[in-house]
Amino acid sequence: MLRILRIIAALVLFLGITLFFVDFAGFLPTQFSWLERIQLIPALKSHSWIIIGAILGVTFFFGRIYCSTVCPLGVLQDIISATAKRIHSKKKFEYKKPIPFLRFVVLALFLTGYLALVVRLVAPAAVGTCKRISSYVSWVSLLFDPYSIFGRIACNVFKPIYQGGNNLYWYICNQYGIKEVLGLPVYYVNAIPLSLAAVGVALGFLIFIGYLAWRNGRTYCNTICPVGALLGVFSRLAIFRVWIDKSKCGSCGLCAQRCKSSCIDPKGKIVDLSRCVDCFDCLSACRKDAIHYGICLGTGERPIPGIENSTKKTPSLKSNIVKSAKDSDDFGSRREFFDIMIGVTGLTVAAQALPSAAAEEEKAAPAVAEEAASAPAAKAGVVPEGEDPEMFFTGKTPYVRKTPIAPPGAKSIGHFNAHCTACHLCVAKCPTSILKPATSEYGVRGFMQPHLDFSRGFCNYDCTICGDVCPNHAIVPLTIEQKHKVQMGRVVFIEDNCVVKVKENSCGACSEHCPTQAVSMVPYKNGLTIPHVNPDICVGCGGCESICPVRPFRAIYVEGNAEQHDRKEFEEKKPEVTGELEDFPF
Amino acid sequence: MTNLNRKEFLQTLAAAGTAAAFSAVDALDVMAQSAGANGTYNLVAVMGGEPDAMFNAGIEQMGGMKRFVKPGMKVTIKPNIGWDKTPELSANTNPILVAAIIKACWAAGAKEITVFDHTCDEWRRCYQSSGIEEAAKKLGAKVVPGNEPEYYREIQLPRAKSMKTAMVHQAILDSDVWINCPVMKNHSGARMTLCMKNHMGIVLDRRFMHTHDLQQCIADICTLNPGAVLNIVDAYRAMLTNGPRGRSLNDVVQPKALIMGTDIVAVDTLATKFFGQYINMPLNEVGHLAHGEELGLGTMNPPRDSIKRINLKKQTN
Repeated sequence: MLRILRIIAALVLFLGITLFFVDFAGFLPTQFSWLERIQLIPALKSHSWIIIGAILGVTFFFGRIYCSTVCPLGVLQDIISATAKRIHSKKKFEYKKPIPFLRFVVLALFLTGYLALVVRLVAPAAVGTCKRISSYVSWVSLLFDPYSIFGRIACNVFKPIYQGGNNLYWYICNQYGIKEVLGLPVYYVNAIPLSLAAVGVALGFLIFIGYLAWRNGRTYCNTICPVGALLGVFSRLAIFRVWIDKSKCGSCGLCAQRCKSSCIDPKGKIVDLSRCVDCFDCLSACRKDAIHYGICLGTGERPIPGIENSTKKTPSLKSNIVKSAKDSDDFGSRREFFDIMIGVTGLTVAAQALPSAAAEEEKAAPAVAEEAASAPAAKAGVVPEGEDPEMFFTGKTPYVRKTPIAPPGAKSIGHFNAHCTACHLCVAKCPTSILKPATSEYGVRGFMQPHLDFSRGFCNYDCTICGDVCPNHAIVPLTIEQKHKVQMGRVVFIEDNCVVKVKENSCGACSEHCPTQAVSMVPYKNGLTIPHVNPDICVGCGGCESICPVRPFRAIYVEGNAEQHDRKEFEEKKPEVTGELEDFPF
Repeated sequence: MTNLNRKEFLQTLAAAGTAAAFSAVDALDVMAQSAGANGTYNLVAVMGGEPDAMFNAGIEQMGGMKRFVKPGMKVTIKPNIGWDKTPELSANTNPILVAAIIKACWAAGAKEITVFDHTCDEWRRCYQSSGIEEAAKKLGAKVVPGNEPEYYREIQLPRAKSMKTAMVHQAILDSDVWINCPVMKNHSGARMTLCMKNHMGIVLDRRFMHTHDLQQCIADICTLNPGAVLNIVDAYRAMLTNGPRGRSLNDVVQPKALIMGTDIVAVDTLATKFFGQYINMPLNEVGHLAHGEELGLGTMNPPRDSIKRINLKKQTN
């Protein structure tokens, strides 16, 4: 019964989170971001003390229920290991000694960073040092926070698959001229992932954690995960717990074979509560009704590791571990530990290699572009077929964006880097798909954190979704009025690249898209108008940059603001005649 | 092998016939400017009412929607839905007008009505904020997106000067007739957003137009065959400054007018003159008008007596 309840709760939450990530059609309202806000590390990062208190409280009373229901990565691992069990029906889990070293190192690193973040909040005097610590240690949460790992998988792996499925559906409908099904429009979406680096990172984690889950169930949760480590500290003392009635238990080990956390020691008749995720799979396994969930009664033990038990007959967990390590598969556990270490090292190396590779790519890009400029022979993909290629290549003056553009409401790049765990929820939800996981834009510490990329779209003036959904408050929620004022960056105009100057054609696409008229058209010559910029009233939405037709270097772009602040007010003039007219002028 | 039954055969014949008739309309328009023998006008200007009332009064003077939409036809309506803005800000066509057009098309026997635009802001937000999606869906019209290349097909524009080929939205190409209904706005590049400029919303690659002489390209895309059977300028509200996007309500005036007709150049010329009453807008600055006349799309000098003027407030001519 408890197990079924757990499975239902887990599936509801898991499907809710996954759908919210992949849903491009806007079926689920922004309120679904609550499923992300109740995740522990986002709650810590956003200083949501009530949520933190609730999670720790529940863990203290009932054990690590969080890990079995709320945590999407935990449920994903359960799904993978359940599938593995379906395929290999003889697959059995077995008790393994804990490997506390790694997870406590991860937890310690995370808590150091978090402490620095809090100190920064309460004692601005210590900002300098704390800033550095908190933003670098945010890497720990970025790499190991289970929710963020899942988010990246959902955004960069599941979403493109979901969109691809939609496109197949669209293709079939389009063949038959169907435009709507049950009143819902059928449409094509661009399913190409925004960042291949992000797909690589997400896939790396998926394969690594998936492999561990396939083989041994909840290895990640009990060996690396900082949330698992933190909650494990509280669940040791849990009031409601899984416990073994020693008078009934015959040490047959059936329960341990079901335990995906590998935390039931049938010989010692003890459950390692720091690792137990309260999945309740073991409860129905016992043929002697010896294993229970509830307040520990009678002959049951309250094993607190490291503390010798009053009942002399039963060994404490500590001695137990030593014992089992000696007489059981010492080799297996050690090998597993090395497996993990190799995996972690591999991931870290890969993660560090990626930005540098991307940086090299970027360095190479201007060279390629210049080449294209000097030899305007139409390169495939740059100039559509059948068009005069030369016309596009008027933008010959290169520029380099010095500061990346952080999302609206990021406050400052420092604040953003320190709070963002790169869960990519905002990336998944951005309606214009301009939030792109960074490779080297923010430097190493901002790897995978989203920045604004205007090459294919721009930030919608009336949209506040990224801040509305951000569970970490790395992007603080803005009202529409605040959003209209926040300056993410400032417009820069390069007249020598402009089609009006080079070709003497009218254009004005930049000004057309400008919501504040920070780019306006002023008289030029021969009745033409040319852009004129007023960066003080610019919001940095990138409308101008995204639409500028000139290549390889655009004539207008946005330079990011390291600190976001309000733009200046613009002057407004009301036209003299505003109402109806007496008659037609024709 | 296609086996047409009698009904399908007649439908095909009717469609082909009307298509041929309408492509001839362009050339005939100049001659047919003055009120036709049956008392219908090809140019109507209305003022002083709500968008739907003005449209109904206008279409009546043009011989009713039955003149343009025959039973069983697939109709596409192309309003301006370019921006994520509410109707008060006048960046998009008035949803009440779009609804009135849809109603008239259904009444004339349309089989299917499709509404779309190639938006500038994100399309779903535009469709929602403009109120057009809701209004159109309520009346059973289909609202389709225009943001992805998959919806576009390449067509040739043999009469064009600068843009000889274009990728045009399938909703236009697959329709039997289409109706063009922009909102009246100033435009930083093309000077005015009216019926001719509204053609940019049926094209995929607008970047090309901006780099290849925008004013000429606007006229070029208007040589599309078949062109819109009906061109309606929504001037219930108009954007005087900072167009085509607009900044705030200070850019918007409320002329409560509507100009419609079959001759796209004439309709846009009248609309520009009307707009000029608020802000100076010389016809020669709106370059695509003259380019359009050159390409034989219509006239910039419609005879005064060919225009039916209606003031719903005065209820006189």
